[in-house]
Amino acid sequence: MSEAKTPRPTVAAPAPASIAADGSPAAVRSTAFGGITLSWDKLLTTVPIYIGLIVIWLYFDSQTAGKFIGARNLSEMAQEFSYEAVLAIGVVFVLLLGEIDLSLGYLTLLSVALTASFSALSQYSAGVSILLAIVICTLCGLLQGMLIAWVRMPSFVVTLGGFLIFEGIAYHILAGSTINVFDPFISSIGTYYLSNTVSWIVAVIVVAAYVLAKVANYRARAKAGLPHAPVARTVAAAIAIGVVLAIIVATLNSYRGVPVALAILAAFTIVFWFFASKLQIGRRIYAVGGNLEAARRAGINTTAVRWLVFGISGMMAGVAGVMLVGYSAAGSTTTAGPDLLLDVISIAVIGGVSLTGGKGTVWAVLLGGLVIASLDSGLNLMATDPYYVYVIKGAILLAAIGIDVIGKRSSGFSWLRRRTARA
Amino acid sequence: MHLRKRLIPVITLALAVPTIAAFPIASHVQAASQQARIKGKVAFLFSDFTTSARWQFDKQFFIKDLKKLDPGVQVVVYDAKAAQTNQQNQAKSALTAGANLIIDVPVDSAQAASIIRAAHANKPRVPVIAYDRLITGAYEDAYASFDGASVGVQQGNFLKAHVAKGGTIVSIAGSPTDNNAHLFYNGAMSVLKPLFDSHYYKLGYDKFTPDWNDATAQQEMASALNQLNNKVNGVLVANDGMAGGVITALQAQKLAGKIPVTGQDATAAGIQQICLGNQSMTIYKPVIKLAQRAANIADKFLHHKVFKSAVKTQTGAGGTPSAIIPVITVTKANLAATVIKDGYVAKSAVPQCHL
Repeated sequence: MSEAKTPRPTVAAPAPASIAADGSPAAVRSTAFGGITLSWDKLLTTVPIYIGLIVIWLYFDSQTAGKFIGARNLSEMAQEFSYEAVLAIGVVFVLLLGEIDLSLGYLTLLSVALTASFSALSQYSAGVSILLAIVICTLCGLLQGMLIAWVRMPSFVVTLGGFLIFEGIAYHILAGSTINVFDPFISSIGTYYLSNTVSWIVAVIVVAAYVLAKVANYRARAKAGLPHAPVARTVAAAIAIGVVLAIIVATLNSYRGVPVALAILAAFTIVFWFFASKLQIGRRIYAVGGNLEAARRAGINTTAVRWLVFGISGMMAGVAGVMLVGYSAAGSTTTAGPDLLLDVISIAVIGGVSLTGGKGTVWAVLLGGLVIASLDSGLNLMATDPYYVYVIKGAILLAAIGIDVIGKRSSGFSWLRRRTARA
Repeated sequence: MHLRKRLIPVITLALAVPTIAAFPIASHVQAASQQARIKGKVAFLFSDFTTSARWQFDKQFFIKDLKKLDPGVQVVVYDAKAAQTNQQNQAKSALTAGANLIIDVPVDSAQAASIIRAAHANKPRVPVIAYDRLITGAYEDAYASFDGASVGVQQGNFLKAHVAKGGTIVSIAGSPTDNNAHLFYNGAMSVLKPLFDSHYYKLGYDKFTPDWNDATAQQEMASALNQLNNKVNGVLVANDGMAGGVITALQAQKLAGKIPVTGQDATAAGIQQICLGNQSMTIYKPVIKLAQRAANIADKFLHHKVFKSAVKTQTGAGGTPSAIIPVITVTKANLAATVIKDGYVAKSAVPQCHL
């Protein structure tokens, strides 16, 4: 096997994940191919998902006489998946640590119950109801985090306890009934749209922010005498982002505009991406998840990091619950639960977050969320027998984990790499 | 390294959690008055208290009615947390504790037969009343329930009366794994299917909803409206919870209140939507009457008498003597005289109704 000695430019799979903390592992890996940074591992793990997504879309579109890729369905899909994707942001951080949070489904239900009962039964204002629900859920998350980080109890046991406790409290608050929420502000979160003009302004701001951030980054690196990525690549990236955003906004505007829920998701994604990849504290999460012992020896307060992550997870459950009440204008025991938990874990994993920690970015929730939402929406549009939904979702989850696990072995996709190298 | 090892149990656990979560939880114990003509113990086995508000009413009304008849009888209430195995264990415990009568709301109609067999094999023989849901595969001593088959029929008839010829109807049915969901659906279709076949109506969208989930029902309705270009003239919704989701989807298309939407359970949320004009009807099951009948039957068994009824339900040879309580279609017009009057929904819970 002479190929075994073939230089492999990106034997990066077992590389310390903490280094890849800026969310662009390619940057620290090979700079082969004349400055064009490429990571085969990254490509090989995400490309099948994109192909899968395209196949799903084309299939559903052909089955629904073009309704599926219609502006109206895409807009409704955005509303339907936003709260799940927001919840999945919390999951991403937990998975980055190599931990699990089983309580999320019922913590979200607790948030639903709190928001609905504060608003509809206690007659608190929308702001107070929302704030209280999010704060209480954050505290619940921090409490679990305390047991995990300080008492050093395994996360799946702690959050299993949380699973039962939050279920019990939520059921008690809802008392088996549905609470209608008539507050217009809360409903606006789930069912309103940004006006067309506002949507365009937001899109322009996002692109401008990206460019400005890159310029600042160049300056800083130049000052420190560090090399930076080629300007052409950044310009190309900015244009690509601009085009994608323009397509999304134009499509959604041709129906009713960008759903408020999607805007909330976008805002949280950007904020947490910045937090995870640009702030020291965020990068420490990757370090702890990549190698706990190494992180500890490097002087990172690993206990605090782990505590914080479960706080974030709780907070996102709070936010998702509020969005869910906004979406359904009601809260009931069937609004959220274990199915939601499995969905959001799938979202993170499909989006490329590794279950063993240290690998993945917040952007995963958009890709993974889109896959899960496409399945739900397409099968609804076709009025398919619901049994299939479970089977298909399960199969896709297994495929995503398979790609992750194989990709992580140093020899994982080597046969493919070798073949491409020869070609 | 240990992180990777931890992965497998974690995934297993994620899947196993729902099962573990259903582990038996201590039961509520309700002691009736000690003063007695006859003494005895009635075990009331409920399927679950958490997912439906109505069982609390069944419990309260039954205990109150039985206390009137037999003040010395103690009622012990169990909650199976929606797992038939829990209920089986609870039945055994009740028999060991010397229950004289078992009233059972089975989680699973077929599996619950083992409870009847255990009760009948007990010395002395303990009679079993199937409450609300039939137990199949064994002969219970009595069956007290609502006329479930007529729920769907009444929903179907309502649409038939309120949707004009040529209309398109959407059906959002309950959980595909729940036998009742099929019962309701088939009841409604017994009215509507001939009309679909003769092209009097069109069935535009037809779906069962896992777990009766209201958010899923909302997504289904949004898809249906999209698929049918908003040309929908009536929505057959199996219960109030899902009707709430359907209404939110209709509101997004400015259609709420413009087309008939059915429901079931007469929940406070459903009554609110009826008063707002968004939901057209709900099916009210007068729990107060069912509990009363059950208490009367229990009283007979406690006095070692036999419950006889001309109404039989087929569970095996001869059929089980049954008490079948009719269900009531509730609209804006009669809600004050039914659900509100019976105290099933408090006036204060439905301020939208201006009662």
